[in-house]
Order: sequence, then C-alpha cells, then structure tokens
Amino acid sequence: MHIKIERENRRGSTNYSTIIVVVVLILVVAGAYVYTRGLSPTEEIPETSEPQTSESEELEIPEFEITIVGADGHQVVIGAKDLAEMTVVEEVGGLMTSAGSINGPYTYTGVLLTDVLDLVGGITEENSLRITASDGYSMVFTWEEFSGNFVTFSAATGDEVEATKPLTPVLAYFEDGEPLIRGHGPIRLVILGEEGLISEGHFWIKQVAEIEVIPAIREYTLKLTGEASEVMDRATFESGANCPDTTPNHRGVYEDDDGGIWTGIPLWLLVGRIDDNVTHTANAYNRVLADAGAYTVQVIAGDGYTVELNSSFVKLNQNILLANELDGQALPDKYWPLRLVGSDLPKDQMVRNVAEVKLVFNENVTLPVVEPDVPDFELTLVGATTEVMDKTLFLSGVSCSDHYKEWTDASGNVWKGIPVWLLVGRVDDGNTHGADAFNRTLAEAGYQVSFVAGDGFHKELDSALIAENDNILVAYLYNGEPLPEKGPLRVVGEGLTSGQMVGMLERIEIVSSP
Amino acid sequence: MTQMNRPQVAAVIIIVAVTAAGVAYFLLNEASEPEAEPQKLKIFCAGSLLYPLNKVADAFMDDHPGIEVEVEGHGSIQVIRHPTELDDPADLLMVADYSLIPVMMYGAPLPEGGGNFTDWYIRFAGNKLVLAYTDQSMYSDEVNATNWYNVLAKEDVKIALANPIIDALGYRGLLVLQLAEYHYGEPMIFDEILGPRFDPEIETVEVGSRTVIFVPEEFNPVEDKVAVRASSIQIVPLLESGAVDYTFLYLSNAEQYGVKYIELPDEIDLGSPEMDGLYARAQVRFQHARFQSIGLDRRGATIYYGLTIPGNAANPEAAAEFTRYLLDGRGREIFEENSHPIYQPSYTDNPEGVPEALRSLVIQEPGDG
Repeated sequence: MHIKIERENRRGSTNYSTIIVVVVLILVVAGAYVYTRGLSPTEEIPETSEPQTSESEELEIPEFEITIVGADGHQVVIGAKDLAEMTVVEEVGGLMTSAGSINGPYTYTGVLLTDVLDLVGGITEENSLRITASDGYSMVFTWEEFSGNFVTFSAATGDEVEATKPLTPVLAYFEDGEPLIRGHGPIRLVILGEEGLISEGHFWIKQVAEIEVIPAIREYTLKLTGEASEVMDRATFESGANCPDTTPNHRGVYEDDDGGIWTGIPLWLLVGRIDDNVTHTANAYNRVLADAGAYTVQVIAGDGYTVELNSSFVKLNQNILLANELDGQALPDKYWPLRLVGSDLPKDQMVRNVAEVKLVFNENVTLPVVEPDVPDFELTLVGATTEVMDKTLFLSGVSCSDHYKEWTDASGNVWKGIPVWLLVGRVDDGNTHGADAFNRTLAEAGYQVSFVAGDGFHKELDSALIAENDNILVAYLYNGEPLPEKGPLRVVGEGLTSGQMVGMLERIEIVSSP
Repeated sequence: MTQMNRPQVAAVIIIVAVTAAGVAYFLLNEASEPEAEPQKLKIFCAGSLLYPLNKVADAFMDDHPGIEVEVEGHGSIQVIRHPTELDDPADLLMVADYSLIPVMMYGAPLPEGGGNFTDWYIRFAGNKLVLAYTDQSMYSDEVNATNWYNVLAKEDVKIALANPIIDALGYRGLLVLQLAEYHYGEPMIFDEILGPRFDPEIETVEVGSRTVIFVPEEFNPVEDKVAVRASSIQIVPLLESGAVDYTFLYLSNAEQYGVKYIELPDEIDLGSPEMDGLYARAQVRFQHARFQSIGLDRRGATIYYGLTIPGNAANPEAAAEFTRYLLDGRGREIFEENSHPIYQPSYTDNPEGVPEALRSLVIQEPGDG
C-alpha cells in the first residue's frame, strides 16, 4: 500500500535567511533598549507569586462560539471563557485521510468532549452525537465511537492496529502548543490517546460550530377505537409497518412533492383491527361494513384536530397511510409521532401529530347480505342413492341455519360449511331430508365414508367419527372468504389430521356398509 | 572628540545593525537561490485514481523538469470542497463522479470575483464494480458470477464495505446489492447480506418502480460479518490479510492491487451506459447531510470520471499541460497499463470553456446541443 506521510502545510514556507536577520535585529534593538535605560535585565522584574507557566498555558484560548444541544433540546452557547474553566487535556493524535495520507501525530491541547456535554445533561448509550462545522460539514458519532472505539492505524506504517487504550474525542484549541491555523480552528474535534495512534480523518471536524446530542427513540401510543379497541404502542406499530412479505402489504409508501418518502401502515389495515372483532387475519378488514358505509373514519391529532373520511374511500386504499417515518427516520417534531398522508389526500387532510383513529358507526345503516363469490362446483354424494349437489343447492343448504356450522382451527381461522353427517344423511338411505335423514342405526353399525379429491386422492373416516358431529365440515368459506387453496370445498374439523382434511373435494361416498 | 551620550550610542548601534542585516540578507538570499523555483502543480484527485496518477505525475515531472507535481487524494466531494469551501486552491481536480463538477462548482462564485469556479468538465474515463477476494477467502474455490450473493450471505463469510457516507465506492456497493435483487429476481439479497447487520438497520423501500436505500446517519455494523472502513485504501489491507473475505472494488483498483475478482453482470456493475435505465432503479438516500453543498440522493448511474481546472488555479497552464499529457500522452499509456483506460476522445459539456490547448482532445457530450 502506498502511504503518503505528510505534515499539513500549517505555517507556510519558511525562509531561514529572513529568520536569521530578524533574530539579529531583535537582539540588537533589545540590547540598545537596555543600554539606553541603563538597567540590568533583573533590576526591575517585579516580585510575583505566580508560578512559571508553559508557552501553551500563556497563550489564550481563541474566541469562539459553539452551540451545544442536549438530548432534551436544552441549548447552551459556550466560548473561550467556558473552556478555560474546564480541565485541560493534552494528548497526541493524528488522522488518515480517505486516500491514505497521514497527518500527524501532533500534540493537542483542549478539553474532553464529555465535559462539554455535561453542560447539557450528558449523553447515554441511547444517544448519538452530531457535530457540525461552520461550513455545514457534519458527522455523527455513535455511542461506541464517542466512548473511544475507533479504527486506528500506526503513525509509522499506516497499518491498521488495535488501540490498547481507548481514544478520546477532544475539543482542541492548540496544536503543538500553538493556536490552530485558519481553516482548522478556532476549535477542532480531534481523536487523541496515550498511544499517539492515527484515526480516520472524517471524524476530525474543523471549525466546530454545533454539537447536538441526538435524542433516543421516543415512545408513543396510538389509540384505536371502534367495534374493538386497543392502544397500540410504538413497537407494535413499527413491527406492523415493517412486517415483511405480507399480503396485503402492511407497508404504505407515499412520495411527496419534494421527494420525501413517507412510510407507514395503510389506514384501512388499522381500521380492519377495530371494525369488528376479527382483529388480525387475512379477513380482519370487513369489506361489507365498509361498502355499506357503516362507519366513518376519524383521524384525530393530539390537539383534537380531526379529519373524517368515508369508509368506502378508505376501503383497501393503499394510498392513504398513517406514516411513522419520513425518509426512513422518525418523523420530525412538526409531525411526530404519526401523520396521515397519501397521494389520495389533499394537504388539509394530512393530519399531523395523530393520536387516535376512531370509527363512528352509523346505526341507521342496514347491512346487506353479501355472499362471498364462491367458485362453481359440484359435489357428488354416493350411498344408497346418488346425488349431485351444485353450488346453488349446497348454498341453499347453508342458508338453513341448522345446517350452517363453523369450526375454528388452532390458528384461529374460521371455517364455515355443512357438517359431513348431514350430507351423508342425504344418501345413506332413502330418507334424504328431515330430522331423521341421517340413519343413526347404520352409522352405529359402522361404515366408511370416503372423501375423494378432484385428483383422485382420497381418505376415509369411520361413521362413528362423523355421526352427528358438527365439528367435521365440508367447508366452503375460510375466514369469510372462499378457500384460498385446496378449494372450493374441503373436509376440515376437530381431530382430523392435515392428511385427512381432503381438499378439492368432489365426491363423498359410503364405501362399505354392514 | 565629543563623547556620545547613551541614546546616541544606541542609534549608532541600530544603524550599523540594520545595515549589516541588509547586507547579510542580500548575501544569504543570493547564496540560497542558485536556480529558479520550479512551478508547482497541485492536483486533488479521487482516491481511486491515486495509484495510476502518482505514476503519471512521476513521468510528467521527468518530462517537464520545471514543474513539480503534488497529488493529493480525497473522496470526490472533498476534492471539490477543498478549493470551493475550504479555501485550499488547486490547479486540477479529478473526481470519480463527473456530475459533481457542475453540481458543486458551476454555481459557486470565486472568492476573488470574476465568475464561478468553473463552467466545464472533461469526462475522461469510466470504471465498474467487481467483487474482490483472495485465495484465502472463504468459499474462494466455489464462488462465481452466478452464486456470489449466496456466498456473501453465508454466516461465516466476512465482507468489508467502504463507508457510503464517506466514499462513493461505499454507496455504489449498496446500489449493486439492490440491483442484484432486480437482476436475479431474488428480493432478499440486500436484507440477507446487510439488512440486520447494522444498528439502525439499513432500510429499503420500494417507491414506484425504484427502490430507495436509506443510509442511516449512524452507519454502525453490529456484527463481525461486516467491516466498514473509510475507503478502499483501508479495505484492501483487510482483504489481503484475510481479515475479510470479500469486498466491492473498482475494477481498475482490483487490477492495480493484484487481488482476484469476479466480474458482475452488466446490469448491476454500474459500468455499462446502455444499462443506465436499470441502474436508476436503485437509489441511495442519506439520512444525514454530511455536506451542505450536495443533496442527499445518489441514483444508480454509470460510473464516469471527470476533471476540471478551477478558475482560481495558480498554475492553469501547467494544469492544462498535465491534462494533455494524461489524455493524449504518456499519461494515457500509464493509465492503460494500469487497467484504467482513458476515453479517446474524451467528452465535455462546454467545448468553448475548455482551455484551448485541450479542445482538440474533447468532443461535445452526446445530446448536449
């Protein structure tokens, strides 16, 4: 590796002849002055109790102003006088530019950054630190860096070496005992240590103008009020917004006119948590209620400002979202913690500082009965007689409340359909419909019921298992919607293995009778 | 003889001393100036150009004994900031992203007046990213152009990244990973390699037809898997020592450092102008404005190097001569020998603004009128 070791051009070019001449002149003039006064060099030195001081201590800290901002927003402006009252640090350090050149090491004099931050309440592991120069250049230090964990290099070779002692960020005002040169000072953030190691140059910030403690994550809650209610905390909201690979997509995105990218949760998904008692499944959002205009959606700011949206406008709309981030970061104070945004909203409806989403139900609305759009099918029942049920006939059976049953699986998904024993009862003997259609005597004697899929796959169940068992169904709805897979009909129910839950069901047959 | 009083004696001493000093000064300067001072040519360049440019500077000085060349490498944005914002003039600026020149210099007035820092650039070379490794890298015997992203995702593989906040190579590495998702149809490449390895995480968001990568203001790796350094200068030793297994480098630098590398598909290597439409599907947005003079967005685009001579260059004639040497002389050969070919001709957006000595070496940018 080609390492260029150089010293910064700090003092301009040196003309030794000029120096010699000036020194001679000074000596001669001083001698002449003494001679004319007729004094010996010690005669009039006043007595003093002041101790001898080093050259750097005699120099005054240059005037400057740096704004320090604490994690709570508290600000102080410090100057030379403030630094003069702090403990002086004198240690060694140097920097490596991104192109590999090494400057230093030099000895710097200054104060610990941590001492300065104590003026605004200090810094914790939850914070980071932003330091900005007068020209706008800024860098952010992590807690680890602030605590002295920097990548370090040997001053001699430029090779990366591990520091055995922590490095310290220092606000320096002298370099090798002299004020910093124009362009570097009056105050420069430097990284120093006992070992005189070199650190990455982008952390060495010239002309420091502002030091900000970046606040830790701020907590918030969002109140959701409707048929169900909940208070959602920040972590829950963020995990929802960042939920990967979900359908529908939990993340809403809106790009504003200035290119700002707002991300959050589409409002309709939040509404789905509170519009009925199904809070978080594929069918949590109740489309029937939304279509019927059963409620309006109020989005309410912390100060009470409220925007009201029609349920049909919000329905499945990915272009209306409650944003928790702008360009990947928590919202600025002006909008924090949440803002209603989206390409379908005018500016005056983009509520900032959102605290609550509330559904206001209209009790006068009559909900229509809307059947899910189940694909056509035929189910053949074979026993003592044979019957082919098409979708219409099957659903007419479902419409009879005694025939319509639900079963909830271990994951909370709700399956709806007709109990198997009612379907078998239509073909197990000549009695097809009525209270005695299911022949209990035959069932007690025992037979097998075969469930056959469209691809020929089949499984058999004992009559004893299905007899008058409302928890084993031929299901046609899953969480209120047509079956997402292995439909349109599937045998499901309590105690069945997944292998016994035959999907794509086309035929039910009594295969062995006593 | 009249006796002089003390003030009179002092005056005589001073007169004699001043006279003696003047004579001494004259004699000393006569003795120390046996020949004319050489002209100084100060060049700020992108770090990825340092290797061949130092060689060109040596050759140039051999061929031009009266000119002393000083080459100083920085990140490309810093290259421009030195003269425009840090009061550190240079004679020639060479950057790894030619578009920075108009953005940062065309509207920046010279401190001494008389116009802006420049109104022209010469786009003189390209580059592309490769995946660099060594024989001792994990899975070096099986990694190839089709499985490299699976290898990078393996838990026992360590990778190094240039810090995207500091170095264009860093954010270009992020763009390559995002473009790989599009090219290979694998939507988790970025997350599996980098996503959870930083605190805060590097978040990506699909916005319309593009994906935006948000680079947090704290670019803070939390696992040993990823090492972040300021630039390739600090990364290559890690690769050579075996501390990391893989890193993205510019092709020219990989060749110059003599490390092995895998060439990436044109669709993702940022080296093929015909793929610019695809490159633009990936975008980096910084959450922290390191510089006020440049925006927060870096869109995927073909890598082009650019140069210009600032309006306040102390030695613009020497800068032009050096540029000519680079574009059409021994410098051009040296760049070629070091795997970084120079365009012939090169391109400019403003032929009238280019120094007359260079005009025959450049043509108007395509589509620029």
